[in-house]
Formats: sequence, C-alpha cells, structure tokens
Amino acid sequence: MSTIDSDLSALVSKAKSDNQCEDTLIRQYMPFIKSETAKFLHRIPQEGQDDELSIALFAFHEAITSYQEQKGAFLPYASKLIHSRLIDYYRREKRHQQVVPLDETRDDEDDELPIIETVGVSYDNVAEHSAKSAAKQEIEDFALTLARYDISITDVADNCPRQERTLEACRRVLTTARTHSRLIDMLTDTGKLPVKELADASGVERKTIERHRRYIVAMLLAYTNGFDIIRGHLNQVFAARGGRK
Amino acid sequence: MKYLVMECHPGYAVVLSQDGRFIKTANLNYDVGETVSDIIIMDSKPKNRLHWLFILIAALLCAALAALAVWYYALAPAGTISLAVNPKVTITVNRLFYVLSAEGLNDDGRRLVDEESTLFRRAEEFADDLVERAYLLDYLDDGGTILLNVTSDSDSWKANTENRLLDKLSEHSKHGVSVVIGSSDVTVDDIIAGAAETSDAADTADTTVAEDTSSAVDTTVSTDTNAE
Repeated sequence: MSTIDSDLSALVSKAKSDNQCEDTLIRQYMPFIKSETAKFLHRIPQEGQDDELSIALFAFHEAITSYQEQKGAFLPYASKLIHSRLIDYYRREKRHQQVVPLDETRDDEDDELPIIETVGVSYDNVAEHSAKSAAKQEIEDFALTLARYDISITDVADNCPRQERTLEACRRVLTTARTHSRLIDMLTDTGKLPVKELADASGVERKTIERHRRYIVAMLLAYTNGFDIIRGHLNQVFAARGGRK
Repeated sequence: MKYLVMECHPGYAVVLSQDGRFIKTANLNYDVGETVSDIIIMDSKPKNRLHWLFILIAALLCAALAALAVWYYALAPAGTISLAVNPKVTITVNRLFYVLSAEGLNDDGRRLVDEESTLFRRAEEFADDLVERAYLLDYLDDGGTILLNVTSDSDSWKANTENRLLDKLSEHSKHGVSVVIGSSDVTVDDIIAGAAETSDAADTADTTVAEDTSSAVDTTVSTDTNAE
C-alpha cells in the first residue's frame, strides 16, 4: 500500500471511534463521494436535492465503520460500497415508480402549477417551526445528559437492539426500572447501570442488559429527566404494551 | 411510523422511532428535532451482486471436478492386458478394472474380439469371454497355457489386475489349461523354451506359449498345439 493509502487508512481507523474525525473525513472526501455518485447518475449530483448523494454519504460512513486494512486500500472499498448501496436504493425506488412527486405538474391541467399547490393541505408553519425548535433544544439537552455518562447518540444507535426479541427484553428492563425508582437512583447516583439488580428484578439475562447497556441508559434518562417531547414521541413503547406513561 | 431526528452528521443521521429504536439512516437534509415519516434504512449488508456468479462458478467447478473424477477413474486407461495366443489381443482397462477398448493385433486377434462388446465389461470377465471364444474358434485346446502380461504405471493396480485375472481364468484349469503371469521382457518363445526344458523328462504337451511380441500387457492364452 502506498504512503497516501497508509495515511488514509490511519485516518479511517481514527474516524471509527471519533465522530468529529469522521465528519471531517467525510467533508474532506466530499468531492470523491460526489464523483462516485455522478458515475451512477451520469450527471453531477446536487447537494440538498439528490437523495442519491445522501445514500452515497451514508455508504461512505458505512465504509469507514466496516473498513479493515487487510481488505486493501480504503477508497476502492468505499467506491464499491457506494455503488452497491446506490443500486440497492435504485431498485427499491423502482418499486415506487407509480408515486408521482408532488412538485410535478399534472398532465391534464392547463395551468402549470405543481401538484402540491393544487392539493388541499393546511398546516401551521409557525407552530411547526416552533415545535421543531423546542424539540431540537430538548434533544441537545438530552445529548448533553448522555455525555455525562460518556455516551453519544451515535453510540446509542450502534448499541440499540436489532432483533425484536431483544428489544422486547430491553423494554421489560425499562418497565421494571421505571417501577423501581431506587434502580434509577442507583444509576443517577453512581453513573453506572445496576445490571445485577435490573436482571434480578426484570428476569432478563445479565448479558443482554450488559450488551445493550448504553441503549438502556439512554432510554431510562429519556424517561426520567423531563424530556417531554422525546417521551411523547416514545409513547408507543409502553402504551401499546400496557405500561405506565 | 414516525421518526424523530436526533442527530445529524454529513454521512448519516440518527432517528428515534416511536417504538424506541435508535436508527442510523441516510441524512436526507434532515434537521435535528424534525419528525419524518420516510427514512432510508440500509440492509445490514449490501446485497452481493456477484452472489449468483459465485454460485455459478462453484457449480461449474463441482461439475469440472466430477468430470475429472469420471475421466480419472472411468475413462483414463490405467493399464493394458495383452492376450496372446496365436490371436493377439490388447485390452485397455481403466482404474476401476473396466474395459475401455479391445484390439486384435493380428487377423486371428481381430477375429477373436470381433463382435465382443466392451461396454461396461469387467476386465477379468472380458478376458474370460475371450478365452471361451478362443475355445470355440479352436485357438485354444485343453492343456493350453494362458499367458498374461499386465502393464501399468501403478504397481498396485498391476498386481490387483493380475490377481483378478488369475482368479477368474483359473476356472479353466479343469480343462488342463494353466495360467501364467508373464512380464514385458519375457516372450512367448521363452516360455515355450522353458516349458520344453522342464518337460523333457515328462511326455506332456500341455504348455505352449505363443510368441509374445507385444510389449503391452498381453494376457497370452496359448493354445495347446505345440506340445513337445
């Protein structure tokens, strides 16, 4: 491998565990990512308009997290992954070709107004903007709370259970914790999740709780620290299963 | 299902679903705090587009290996058996002791193998049939000698084939026919001369060995026509 490839491999290794480093790396290689997207689209992608570019960026992120140096140089690996994800996206979107974009004009209309302007939709711009700002503020506070436990939102996403069975087990843990306030106190007092006590109280295996520790901590904090918007968004987690809000 | 956008990065966004999942998704120009309905969830691994190609290559390799095995065991000659009476016949045999071909090396030999099918024939049974036919065509009489010459690159195959032929052809001993294992440097004349020396004192004329001119494995069945 050349020196440039070695340097890049080192950067990618660092980016695996450092979100800021990853963001910087992605911005630095934006021209490469755009170029790979352009090969697929046969035109230059537009930021903010082409979903394909977002797909390519996500694929580049995937390449960073899954890259191993023994696989060879990073850029060819990333290029292959981008291409593969774009094809997957294209095939998925082909199934929805009957869907008409709202910014298209109707063929049977004389005027050239896009469809969205002919459809009767009423919404309150101001209220929506206000709600979004409040949510954004609360989420930023939530992220700061998580940071006190040395957890980031990305960490929580990486630690979130994938299988429904495991997710259900984690919900049992959360339900148990919410009904045993001393367990939450142990978390907030020590900064550590009381795994053994939660396992004994909920009947869930210790290793399941340990494996998804960050996720369980994040969810417990979301329910116990006044994060109303997040809790309101999550009302399906316990309401549908008979739990208390 | 609605998703609350929790974190945005250049390469991805993290959204929170209403059932409590934190999901990494493509960042379609999201803003933190925004609620969206459609997200792009990537499959856990990108589809391997070469999947079918790998299967095809694996299948072709298996077929090639099977064909190679068939060729090696069933079609490739492992050795030859030469049957020389006055008729001289060369039988080509595969590793599984099945006959691949039989060729008469002289007119009588060609007459001997004429109309004898070699398809799916065990070597020892085929040789036995040729001996029976030699009887019918008066090439072999009671008291004759059958000379077998087996050649092969494999000593173990050679020994195995000789034993099979000996076992099968020894049935003819009830007619006084003896079976002799020869070698490539032993000719039929040598055997005839050797038989003549040992039978000087005895007045038997059982063994006559036809001339072995073939260097291949020639099972040689000699007719009892040159009694000393």
